Amino acid sequence: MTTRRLPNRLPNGLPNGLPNRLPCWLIGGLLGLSLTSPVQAAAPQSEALQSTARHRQEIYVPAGLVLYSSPSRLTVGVGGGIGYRYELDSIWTVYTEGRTSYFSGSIGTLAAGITGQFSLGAWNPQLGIGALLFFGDSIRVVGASGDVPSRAAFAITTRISPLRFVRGRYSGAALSVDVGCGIDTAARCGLALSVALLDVGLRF
Amino acid sequence: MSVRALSLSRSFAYLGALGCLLSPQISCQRESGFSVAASQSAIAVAKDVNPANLSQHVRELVRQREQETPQPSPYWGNMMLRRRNAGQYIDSYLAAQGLTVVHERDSQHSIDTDNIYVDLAARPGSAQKGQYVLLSGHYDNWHVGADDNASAVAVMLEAARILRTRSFLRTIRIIAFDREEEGLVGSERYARLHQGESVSALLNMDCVGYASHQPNSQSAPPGLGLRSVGDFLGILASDAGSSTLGKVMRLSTELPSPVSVLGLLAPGTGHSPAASAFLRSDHAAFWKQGTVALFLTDTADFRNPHYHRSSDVPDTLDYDFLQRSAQLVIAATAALADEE
Repeated sequence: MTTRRLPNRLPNGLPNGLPNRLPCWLIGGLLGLSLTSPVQAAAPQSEALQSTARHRQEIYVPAGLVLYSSPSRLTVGVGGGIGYRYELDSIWTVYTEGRTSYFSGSIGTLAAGITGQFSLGAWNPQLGIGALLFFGDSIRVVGASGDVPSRAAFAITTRISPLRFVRGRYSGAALSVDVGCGIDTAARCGLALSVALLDVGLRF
Repeated sequence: MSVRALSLSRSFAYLGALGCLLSPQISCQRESGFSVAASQSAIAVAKDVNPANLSQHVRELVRQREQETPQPSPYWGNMMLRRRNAGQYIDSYLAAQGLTVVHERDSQHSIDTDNIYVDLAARPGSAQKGQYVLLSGHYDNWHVGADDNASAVAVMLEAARILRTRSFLRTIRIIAFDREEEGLVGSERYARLHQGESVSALLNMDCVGYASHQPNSQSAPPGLGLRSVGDFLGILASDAGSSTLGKVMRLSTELPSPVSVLGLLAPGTGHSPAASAFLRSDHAAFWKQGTVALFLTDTADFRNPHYHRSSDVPDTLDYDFLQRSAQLVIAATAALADEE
């Protein structure tokens, strides 16, 4: 008797597990809707504002620690990197940043997301959501099945930056935190944390 | 919010969904197990483990140590070690099995070491007979050391008894390292001296006989969430040994009396600060060289309250756990030696 190996992909080219991951798409869709629906109607007004607003950009340098802890891995490191912010309007800013850290080995993190902010003088706190990818070295836990967790782990995070200040061409923030749910085990959420003890930026 | 902002926010949301979708796919890589022939050979040798022999070895090693006057360590003055009688016991048992016992003595920097080993020759004509599978543990001790490390020496002696009657594709070398407690001196000297040899894998044991089934009997290095019940055998590997670790973990489930196992994979060669607790035994020198080396342990002081105390005596061991651990270690040694 022979056992035929199932193809990795269905005939239409979709991954086998796609139907099982529909909740992922639904979460993504809901996230998209939650961001878009309430303001969809106000889009023309926003566009009018946008035409007068200046899209400022910013290069910033964060330094701090990263942590990913789940039943399948421990990733922890201290280091820094570089980031880029683009102000869409007076409220919304998108960001992307990369960091390298070291402690449980050499770790890289890539983050991207969108934040909302308000200004009270120089005080410019931000709150937003993003995605955080950890890759590189970590202590990994291998179960009895022998499956070895990969070197990469992904998380959906909330960015909280309460102590951010902007003055002219310069910005600075202390204790900016990305905290969220790491998705690397089916059963439980891993703790994903990225803390920028300090970040300083140059706006242009 | 501008149209551009709306479009970007959608993009990020979909990016999140994509990550969620991909995450299970990138989260694990499935390691294949040993070949069917190697697994069958391994399971057969596991059945030959005699629990009475293990218990007898532990008790006899402890009795021998009790009769020995401890000597102060040349490295650490307050460390009182016993080495000689255990070495003699190992030598005489292996010789009685008909094996040629090699004493590799070294006295660099006025510190003498005596690593003891035997070779179980590979099958005649085997293309891999120049390759070694090493099975090791240290025989020097604080106090009388039932768990640390008479338990591992007992498994090594039982492995010699079982494996000497069979032949494998690779040569199996069983090594009792000296002066582990003083900073892994014996194994570092061995690794340096034998650097040119082809080593397929090393299985190093340190403390393999203590288990507890009580809740919260297991602790772990900070941040590492291990199970809270200390009833498993920890198997540690560096990056070089990830595939072998996966194979041994799978083999553990195929044995007639499987021991509960937990695998830990240290990054790189295991020399990062977060993994420093993983380098506390004789495999460390081999990890540094990039050799495939697994470290098998009951996690020592993360579980055993008698660790490095005079209370580390034979009656504190769990002999059912020791037998299951021995079955896995000896089976894994056989499978690694017989893997094509």
